[in-house]
Amino acid sequence: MDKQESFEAVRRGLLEFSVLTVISKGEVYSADILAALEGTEFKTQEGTLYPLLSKLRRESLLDYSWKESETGPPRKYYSLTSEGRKRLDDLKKYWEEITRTIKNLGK
Amino acid sequence: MNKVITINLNGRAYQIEESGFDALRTYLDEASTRLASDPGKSEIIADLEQAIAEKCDKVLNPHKSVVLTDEITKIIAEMGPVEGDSQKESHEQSASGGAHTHKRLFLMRQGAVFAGVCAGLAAYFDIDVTIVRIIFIAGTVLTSGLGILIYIALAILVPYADTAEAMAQARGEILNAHTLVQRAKERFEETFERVSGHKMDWGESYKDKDDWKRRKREMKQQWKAGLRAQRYHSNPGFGLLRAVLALVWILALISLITTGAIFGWVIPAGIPLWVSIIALFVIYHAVTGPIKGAQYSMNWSGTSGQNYQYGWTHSPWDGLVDGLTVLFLIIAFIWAYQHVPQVYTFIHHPIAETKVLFGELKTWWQLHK
Repeated sequence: MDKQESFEAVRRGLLEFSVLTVISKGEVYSADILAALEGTEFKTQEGTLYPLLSKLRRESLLDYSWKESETGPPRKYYSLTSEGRKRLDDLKKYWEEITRTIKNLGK
Repeated sequence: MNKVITINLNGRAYQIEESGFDALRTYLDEASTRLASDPGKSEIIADLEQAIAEKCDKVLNPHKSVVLTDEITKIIAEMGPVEGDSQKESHEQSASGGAHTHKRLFLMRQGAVFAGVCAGLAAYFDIDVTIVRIIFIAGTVLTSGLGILIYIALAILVPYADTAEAMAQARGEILNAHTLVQRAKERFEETFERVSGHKMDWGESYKDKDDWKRRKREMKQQWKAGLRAQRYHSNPGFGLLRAVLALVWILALISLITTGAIFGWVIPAGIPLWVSIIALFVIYHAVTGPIKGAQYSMNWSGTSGQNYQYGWTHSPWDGLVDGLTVLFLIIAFIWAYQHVPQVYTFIHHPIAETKVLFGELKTWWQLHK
């Protein structure tokens, strides 16, 4: 079976992590997030990303501001809130712990 | 040459081929069902629309002003299915699956022997009517007659499937007027809300506003027609009349069997009792037939569109009438078998007795000519 398919659950669980990481770079547009994830294990689509962004915003982990664009209507640029930043730090630490645990379990 | 529809995505007009428009609408409708429980629903939908709009921009240029169906299909594939609450989603799927197979037990005139109970059961369980009949008869024999009581109970309680929609429902297909009207109503409300409420609309552009209004009006009219039809259906006048007729008929039958006369009117000598019983049946159906017809035609005229038929063509009275008909058929048959020698011998020697019957009819006809 395809790697993408077999580790679907893992990727799903980590999508939030990866999205928060991408947004931590600064103000990003949703298309930028998709572009950043494109080609990685976390490649995703609008249909998945938008509900997730909406959820994260409701949890006040991220916020957006409207910015004018040369073409078309204003766009939403996402950035992390302080809560979001803290969450990302916690997640990173937790992730390191988990990988260490997995390594140790294998010994 | 394809028809083009102008839509408003995020405040900008886009021209899309008609079938592409349908695909897009389906996608967004699906998205909105999946996000039904999501508090950020309208925002997500608006974001999705903007993303679609941007993808449309990419395929358009000064020399190409229309988004083709293929391009829309591609855009939808790129967007990917909208993920709602996964638990909710599976729940909704099973619920809608339930709606698809939502069946109701109806009596079926088509292929009916008596009241259509077996035919109705066969449609409901999707098995051959002969198998149902065999089970029913075997069950009746094994339970020494309980099956007949069940049959009568079903014949009385279960309505007839007379509209196309009821027929479909009896088989578990989706052609449910109620859901159709409901759906139309919901859609109308939802669209209205979106058109009037949110800044980022998914509605036809201003150019099509009149057309949109007209469609809303039509939907409303059809919905009203549905309600009107329902009112006709629940009108018990005809049903009551038929119930009274059935009662008169039963009394006539009793009086005929017990006294040999119908309400004091002595049947001509020479006509066997059972012939007059059959004649009474024929007369009863001849009288009630036009009433039934009138009832149906009234129901039909009460609805404008063929699709918006309401289910209850029969009032509960009709079920009672038909049930009683069957009951008395059975009772009359049993009684005749036990008390009328002709019937008894006819059952046992049908061919010989048929010949005798024709002989009798011939002599009776010649006598009265």
